[in-house]
Amino acid sequence: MKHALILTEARGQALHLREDANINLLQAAYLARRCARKGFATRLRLILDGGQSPEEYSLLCHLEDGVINGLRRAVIGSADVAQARRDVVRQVRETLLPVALRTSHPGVADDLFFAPVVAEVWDVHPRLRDMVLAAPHPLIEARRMDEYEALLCAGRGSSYLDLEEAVARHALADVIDGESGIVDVSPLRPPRDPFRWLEPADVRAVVDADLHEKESGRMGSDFQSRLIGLFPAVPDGDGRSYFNSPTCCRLEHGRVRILPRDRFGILGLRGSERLAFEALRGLLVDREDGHPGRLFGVKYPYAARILAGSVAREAATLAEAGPVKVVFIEGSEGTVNRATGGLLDALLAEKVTPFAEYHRFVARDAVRKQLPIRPGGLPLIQDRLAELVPSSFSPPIDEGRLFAEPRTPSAFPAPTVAQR
Amino acid sequence: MTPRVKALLERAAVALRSAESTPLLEEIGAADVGLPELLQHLRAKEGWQEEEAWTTPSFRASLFLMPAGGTMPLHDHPGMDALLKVLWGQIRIRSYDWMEGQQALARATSDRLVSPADGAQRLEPHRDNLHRLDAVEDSAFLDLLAPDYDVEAGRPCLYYVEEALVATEGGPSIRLRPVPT
Repeated sequence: MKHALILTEARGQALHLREDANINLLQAAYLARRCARKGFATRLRLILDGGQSPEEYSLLCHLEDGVINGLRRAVIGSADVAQARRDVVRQVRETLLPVALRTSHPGVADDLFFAPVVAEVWDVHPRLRDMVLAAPHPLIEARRMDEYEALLCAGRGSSYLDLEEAVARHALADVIDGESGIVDVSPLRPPRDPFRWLEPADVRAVVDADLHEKESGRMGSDFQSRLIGLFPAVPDGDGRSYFNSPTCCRLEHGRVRILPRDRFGILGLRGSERLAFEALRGLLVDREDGHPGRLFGVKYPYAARILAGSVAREAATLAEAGPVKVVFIEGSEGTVNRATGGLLDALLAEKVTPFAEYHRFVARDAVRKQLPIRPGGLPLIQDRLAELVPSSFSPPIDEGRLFAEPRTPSAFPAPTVAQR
Repeated sequence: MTPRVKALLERAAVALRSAESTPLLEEIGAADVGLPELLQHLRAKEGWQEEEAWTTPSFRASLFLMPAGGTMPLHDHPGMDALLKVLWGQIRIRSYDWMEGQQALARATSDRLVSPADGAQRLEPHRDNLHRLDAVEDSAFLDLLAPDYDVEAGRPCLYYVEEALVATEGGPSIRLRPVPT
């Protein structure tokens, strides 16, 4: 039996149309279908990371600089920064998001952008159709509006990541169609229960090893190597711990620096916190023991290491039964983040190649530029976008090579224990 | 760091984000940040040593110490504004800009020796955004970044090596290759 294991991003499908993720998911579906037809037992793994807030990830990053500057001035120039911040966050949610978000977790502040792992879908925007169909766009099919709205309505009361996964699966079911029975689709995402985020053995192993390395002073002096891949709740002046859009956590002079994070600098946040490593470990143990208190999520660079480890283990298991091809599809030309997607790419290449063929694709920039910029979801554009998919790959697909009979496991060097 | 220096840095960061001119760093001198005592404990024998001075969600201020002969390799500041004020010694700063619409191609924009008598050196998202620093003598400089590097927001700090000279319209440019860190 020959196997294909395809990995792609599944966030960015439900709330906004200008995302590389839209085209990447369809590319992955296209390849999965082709692989299945070529006789590969095909698995599609969907990354649903707990990183950036839905507000920042999907929407703010596509606003004009002038609009962002206006939001920034409204907060920073205000006599009452806290009130101005609440107003701006509410304005972003009410004018740019197709759904209303909320959270039932007591440690999450409503006046900051939500972390995706705790955001819940409360309702559908009452002016959804106006937001999406305000101006015609060649990729948007208005006849799909009912279907999109029904997906959002079905997501009421579920978590934001559940909605993203549901919309991604809906699009995949359409595209994979007849192959759906033989393409195995499953998500790679954090556990739903916040107390279990750090519980899996592979997660704790990455966290513990890195903290040990950083505390021992063996890390490099560049910016990236000082980052600690956790986002913890940050305390506010009233003694509460707020957990929202990922905070920044990093090594600083032998201690840990925690900062609230504000990607666009519009929230007027100030202040930070320094901890000894021992104190950070104590907070992690408290979390593990189920004590209420500060939440900790996982982010770059730990997320990439955990994902790569998971995919490598799966590929290694498959390789025991036959040859394996691993394909990673993420980003578009010119916009690939060399640190985030780049790290996962480098780790996969390192961990997978001892026992599988590894391929990496992004989308051609010309295709990304054809996407509309507005609230909406993949179902609205997937029919027209699908027509562009076969020619959207960078590098272009070489079917002779990609679908060639994979080398048998015996043709690869035996993986070491560390690689397994 | 004294409240006066903190206030100057905060005002300078706000001015930077608003694209206003900002002479505020000129008011900060070596004594304000504990030089030259810090230089006597310069641990780095080559490269650089960062003393992170003050970090907030919207900017980061650091004091960098470099021994004579030390180099900070060519690196970028994606989407960021920055001010670099030499407080001690002398540093050669070679600056570059990405060429618009050209993947991985950059063009040299300036090459200068900078000392405390010079004003703060400014870089912007589309002006002098990449640079390489070489300490001609034991040196220290204050670095103000607004916003700070943020990997997930597409602002990683990447280092590059000059791979080849390329003939392009308007003169030669340089192909840069990112170096894994």
